[in-house]
Amino acid sequence: MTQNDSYKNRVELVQGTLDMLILRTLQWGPQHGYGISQAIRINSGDVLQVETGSLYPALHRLERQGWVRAEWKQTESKQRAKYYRITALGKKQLLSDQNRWQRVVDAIAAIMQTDPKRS
Amino acid sequence: MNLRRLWRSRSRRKDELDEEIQSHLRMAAEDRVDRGEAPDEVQDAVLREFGNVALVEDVTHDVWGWRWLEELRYDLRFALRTLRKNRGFTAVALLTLTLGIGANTAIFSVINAVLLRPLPYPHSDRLVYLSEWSPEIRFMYISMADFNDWRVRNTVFESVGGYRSADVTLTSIGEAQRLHVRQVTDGFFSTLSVKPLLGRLLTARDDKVEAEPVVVLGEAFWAREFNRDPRVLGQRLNLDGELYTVIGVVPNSHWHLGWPEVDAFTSLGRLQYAPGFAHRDDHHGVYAYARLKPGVSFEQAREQMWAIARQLAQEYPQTNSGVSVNMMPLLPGLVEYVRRPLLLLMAAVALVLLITCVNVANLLTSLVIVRRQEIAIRCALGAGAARLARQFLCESVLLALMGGAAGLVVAYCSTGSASAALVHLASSTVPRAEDISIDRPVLLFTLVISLLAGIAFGTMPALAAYRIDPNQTLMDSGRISTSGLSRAGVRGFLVAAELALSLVLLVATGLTIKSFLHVVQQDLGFRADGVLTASLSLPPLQYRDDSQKRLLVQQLVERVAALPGVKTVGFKFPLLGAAESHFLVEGRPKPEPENVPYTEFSSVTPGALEAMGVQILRGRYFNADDKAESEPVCIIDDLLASEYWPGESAIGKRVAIEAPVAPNGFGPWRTVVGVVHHVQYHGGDWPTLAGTYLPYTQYPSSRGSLAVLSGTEQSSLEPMLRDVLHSLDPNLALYDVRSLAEFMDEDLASRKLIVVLLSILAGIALLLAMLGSYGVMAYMVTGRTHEIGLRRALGAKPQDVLRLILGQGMRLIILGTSVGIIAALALTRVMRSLLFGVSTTDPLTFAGVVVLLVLVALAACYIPARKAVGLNPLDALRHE
Repeated sequence: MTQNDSYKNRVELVQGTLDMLILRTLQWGPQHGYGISQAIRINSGDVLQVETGSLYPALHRLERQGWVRAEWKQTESKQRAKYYRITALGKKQLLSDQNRWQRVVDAIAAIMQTDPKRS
Repeated sequence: MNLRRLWRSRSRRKDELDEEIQSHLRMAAEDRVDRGEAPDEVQDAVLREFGNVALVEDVTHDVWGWRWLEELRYDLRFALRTLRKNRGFTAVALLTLTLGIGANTAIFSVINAVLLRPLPYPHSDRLVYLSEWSPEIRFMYISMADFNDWRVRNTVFESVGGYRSADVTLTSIGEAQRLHVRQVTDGFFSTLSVKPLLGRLLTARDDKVEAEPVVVLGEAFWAREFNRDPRVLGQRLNLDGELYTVIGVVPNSHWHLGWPEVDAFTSLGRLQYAPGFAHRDDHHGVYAYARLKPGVSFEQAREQMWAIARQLAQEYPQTNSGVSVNMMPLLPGLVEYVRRPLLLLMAAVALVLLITCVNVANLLTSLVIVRRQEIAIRCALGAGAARLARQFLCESVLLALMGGAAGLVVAYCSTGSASAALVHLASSTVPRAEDISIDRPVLLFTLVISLLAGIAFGTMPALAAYRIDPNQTLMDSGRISTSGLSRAGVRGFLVAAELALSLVLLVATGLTIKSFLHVVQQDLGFRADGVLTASLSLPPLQYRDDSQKRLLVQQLVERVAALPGVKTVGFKFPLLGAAESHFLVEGRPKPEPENVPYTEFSSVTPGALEAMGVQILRGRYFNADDKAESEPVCIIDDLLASEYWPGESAIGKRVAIEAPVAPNGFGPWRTVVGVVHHVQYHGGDWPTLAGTYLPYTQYPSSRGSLAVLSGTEQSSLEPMLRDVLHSLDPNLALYDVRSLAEFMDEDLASRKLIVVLLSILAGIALLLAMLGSYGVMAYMVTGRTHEIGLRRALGAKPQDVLRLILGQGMRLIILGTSVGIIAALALTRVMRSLLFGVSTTDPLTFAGVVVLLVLVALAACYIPARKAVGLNPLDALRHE
């Protein structure tokens, strides 16, 4: 089954990256919880799947920290949903998260690319 | 209120979260339907994908930190249920707490109103009190010349105002009456930011020597004499024979400064060149208030005032060397003399609260032991130690808050009557006693001490609960195990602590009572019973010459003596006051100026000393032959006589009393004609100063008091005295008509108040200590019933058992009293200034208190011990 295959390809989220991913997703515009989880899944080519048990606590934590703001709005299909919008503070946080992430990735890459025989 | 809002916002968030997740599920379902899945299977798939909805909600909800609030709610609900279930326990604990917290609240409300609440003036923290200072006199009156220099030279005050109490006789309306007048300089009212109710206040213009005399009335006097008629402005009042124009009225709301007694304000500056004020050495009743400029600190200002005093001392070494400035913040200055007694009371109630806490901790600990089954089960079901401790703290804090609320009610009910009693008993000794009320700081205080008390007495049982071994307790199932808890351990420690605390309070109270008795029982050297006193003042304009004064006083005394029922009468100035003066003794080398001895002297007519029962030891009292022009004479007291002529008669020796106008600074040599018993005119607790008496004829004063010894009631004697005076001069007022005993009582009022309050508190402490010891001992005996039965069965005699139990109690008592004695020795030292004639380590008081406490505690132990002995050994053995 395709559903099961895609499940196998999924990767556990690296600790502490969920906040960054959520903020990044919200940069494209306000989105509700379901939308965010879909966006992360689709944009990662079905590799990343956010557990709701992590997503919602994360969203509420971000709201509490003032990095996102929540408001109730109508969806395209005329449903009431809670939309999250990134705040100026959240954008700042995203920038610093992104920088840190980049440094970590570069560092790991540097280690992985080093040829053990030469060193 | 805040908690409720918090709770409501919590519920709203919960609903919203629910809706948010529902919308998530709906959207996910729609997406699946759009992708072509069967609608009836979609629902399950979506839920499966989402996971545990309740768990997600819970975890998300926790992000907002509600958990503690919810758990608190459970804890509170559970605590309420526990308290309700143990009604008897709750009632006793609540009653104890109500007493303890109520007493604290009541005393704190007094401290708050008297010591802490700011004065009702704008920026009252910038107000200071000023007096001069000399090595001998800490609060020396300010000389007008110095005052004027202070005013000109300082750069730290916005304004300075001098004032002086000066009573006058008002003769223009109705019968002549005595008015309480305050003479004030320009700047007095502006310093305090007082606005007139009517008209205007005194200004610099009114302080000119040649200015027309004007007067500002106090509101109470205006209401009393003029029925609040605004047409009073411009009216003229005859004060001491001089006509003053009324220019304004000031409001009454100045209790703390003693204003309700002030009938009128006149200019002090106008008198600055008058005799008695003009000289730099004239210090006559003047004190001052000043207002600091914004931004100037108290220390800066004081530094500058001290510098000015040093300048003045250099410029006028004759009068000002050694003289400095005494400056205090106004509020502390006003209340300084009641601060220590009030703080002592606060310390005493704090001790009572501590004892209360210990008692309740004891109760709660026994409750823990009763509840050990429940606690063990909760432990077994996984309640953590922290969770259990929180539960216990929650119960104790709830209990304390309830006690606090009840205490507040008690304090509220008692402050009304207590402040009335205070005002009645000690309005002259406790400033601002009228303002005592339960306000926000008091409420806050009660809340804080309730919380602290709750935490304090909740910790013990929480610890006790912590030590419960669930395993063993559950296996024991119902049997009281004597291991750990019921032994002396925690609870014995509590009993010892309680006894120690009580001992400190009892010692403090004992010392205070002993000091009070010492003051009361001291032989003051005169008789207060049956003596009526009435004061008189001769206006300087009408009674310029001494001969006029002599004539009036002589006639007055003669006519009063002829009244029915009057046994003896005399005139004396000052009646009880302090006229301190230097004196010289003939035949002795003149001492250095700073070593000239002091005496307390007064001027008396024949009959005055006799009426007051001042006993003559040698020689004679004054008589009609001691005339103005006859040989200068005096009477001295035995203190002075024995100091200068020990072992020989002082009669015929000569002394000279200071007289500023005389060329050498001293009056004529006066022959001692009598030696009387020493008199402590200011009460037993004042420093002793040798006394001298001069005949009124040779030392006339324009003020003084009649002392009338009679068998007649004051109510019938007083009008007769007034009639006699008015028949001599209708423009004179008789005032301060009071029995001498009343005067003396006033002196004692504040001491009496403290003794009464301390005794009440000590009584409460003793009662609590007794209940506490009884409770613990009774419990211990119950715990050892089985063992006692065993001992009896094995042949122990009743006395042995009694000794065993009492011995256990005695160990605690000895521990408690020893700690208490050490603590009392350390703590009562701060009481030194409040005690008179008693050392802070008075062995008799300590011994008495220890005996009392030990007896009470032993009695508390004896009752359960008796019970243990009375048990049938077989019953005891079966006891579980």
